[in-house]
Amino acid sequence: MTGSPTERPVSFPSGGLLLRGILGMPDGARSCGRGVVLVHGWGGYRIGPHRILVRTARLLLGRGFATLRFDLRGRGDSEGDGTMTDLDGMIEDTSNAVGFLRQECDVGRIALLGICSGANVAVGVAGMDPGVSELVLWSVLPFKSQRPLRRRIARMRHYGLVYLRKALSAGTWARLLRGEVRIGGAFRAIVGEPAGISRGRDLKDSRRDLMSAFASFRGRALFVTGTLDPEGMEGRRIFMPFCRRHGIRAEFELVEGADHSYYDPAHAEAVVERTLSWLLDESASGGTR
Amino acid sequence: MSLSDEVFFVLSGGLKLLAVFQPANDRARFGILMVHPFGEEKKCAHRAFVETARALARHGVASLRFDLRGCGDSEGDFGEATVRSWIEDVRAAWGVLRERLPDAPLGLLGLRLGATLASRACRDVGPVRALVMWQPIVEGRAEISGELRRLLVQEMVSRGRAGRRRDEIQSRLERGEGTVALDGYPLTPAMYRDICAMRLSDDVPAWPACAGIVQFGRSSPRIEAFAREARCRLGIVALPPIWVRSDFIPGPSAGDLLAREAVLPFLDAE
Repeated sequence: MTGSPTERPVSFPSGGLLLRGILGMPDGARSCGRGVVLVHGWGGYRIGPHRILVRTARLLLGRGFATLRFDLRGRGDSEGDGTMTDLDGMIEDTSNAVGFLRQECDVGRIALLGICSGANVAVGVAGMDPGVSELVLWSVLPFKSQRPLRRRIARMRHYGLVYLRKALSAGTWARLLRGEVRIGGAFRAIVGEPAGISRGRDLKDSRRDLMSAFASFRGRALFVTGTLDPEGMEGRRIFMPFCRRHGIRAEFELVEGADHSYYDPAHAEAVVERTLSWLLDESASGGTR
Repeated sequence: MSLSDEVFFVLSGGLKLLAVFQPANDRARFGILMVHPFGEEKKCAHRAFVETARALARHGVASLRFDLRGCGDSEGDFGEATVRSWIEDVRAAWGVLRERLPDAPLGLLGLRLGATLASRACRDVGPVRALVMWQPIVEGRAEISGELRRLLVQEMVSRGRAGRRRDEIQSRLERGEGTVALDGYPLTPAMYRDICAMRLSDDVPAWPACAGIVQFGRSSPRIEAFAREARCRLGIVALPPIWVRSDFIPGPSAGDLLAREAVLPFLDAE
């Protein structure tokens, strides 16, 4: 069999809801030493894009880490109304996931590994939980309040030109007539995914100043970004000087040619391998690079 | 706080498959086995399956949803899976559902490739009292061709150019060479051949009398024509394509809509 026999489904409470997850314990041991909580992105669930979180969790498990991949409220198999889930609720859930892993496995050190919005959630938790000693942030985005208008215009220009080129192709028009072109998809690519809005509030925004809280983070962090991920690159441009300014021990890794979700298997491999070696590097002294 | 469903592993081919049994709120008048779609479509559609299962429970329908080998939280390597092995998984999950509901009529519900697998499984499990196919793949070869075209468009969008041609990729796969990543999932030559060989029309003789197709958002001429020919019921549900829209987060109301309009009418036709 592949996978670990010590993976088991679990549930734990958060904000009056029950959340579902898969807990991995190395050799079934109660005391694990180190643990990793894996946090999925906004529209996904505990497996992550192309199961990258399943694969990473199992590799970590094989290296002696306790792991917990779980569904945020309103996502995956957890309780909650997904249309109402907001960033602050996700942070609360992840904080409770950390508590649950501590309680179940008696871990000494806990790392958070998040992808996309899950990475932003991890930043939010790290700013308030001193027990989180390591952060692995894949494709972290700028927080809503940090997104300058000029960047959004640059993004729209980039994708607008791509689709203009396509619109000039005869093949595109033939497919349009056959009803095979999703105009809505092209529109979303150009203007960006719509923000989740509920009762006039942007669900992806926090009521707290998460960056100010993150300034006090005293663990170490690994930021990984694909060079073909415009929003991730914007996140990198914001977090890199921020970490320097606040003395946060951080490494910034670029994956050449990778998109936001590391869909190319070679890119996914690079991200996972780098993450494993970084987490296993006990002697890491950090320093912003 | 309460989650009435039960999470456990089903064994199939020596692998542990993650499964979730959702009992009906009262006595189950029907049981449904839910079969998920291919690759990244599964991730997008997962919550819709969960909300549908929970809504169905309120209508007296129990369900079992599970991850095929190499998918979701199940064991196994996606690159080693075949259509045959996935049908074996469907059979194993069906057996578990039958154990849970020894007296209730059972049916199959699938989305996209999952619908086509459910259709194929009608030959292998039984008796199937209802078959509900959400936006099924009617012709495997045309579907794969469309997926490869989408892959090349994605490459063009992100890199400004597509470095390869679709017919070249298909020729290589047909020769048994190379593997293509579709949204990070390996499409091996074996899986390519398996999916290309899938034709929904081949399974029609094995379908139960109660079979239906549901489309999302808008009607596809290909599916309409097929449903007419196969003489199965056709429905349409006012939701976006749940298997590609990761920005669409289905809530309980979407689950209720899916249960009421995309499942129950096809069971109650009995």
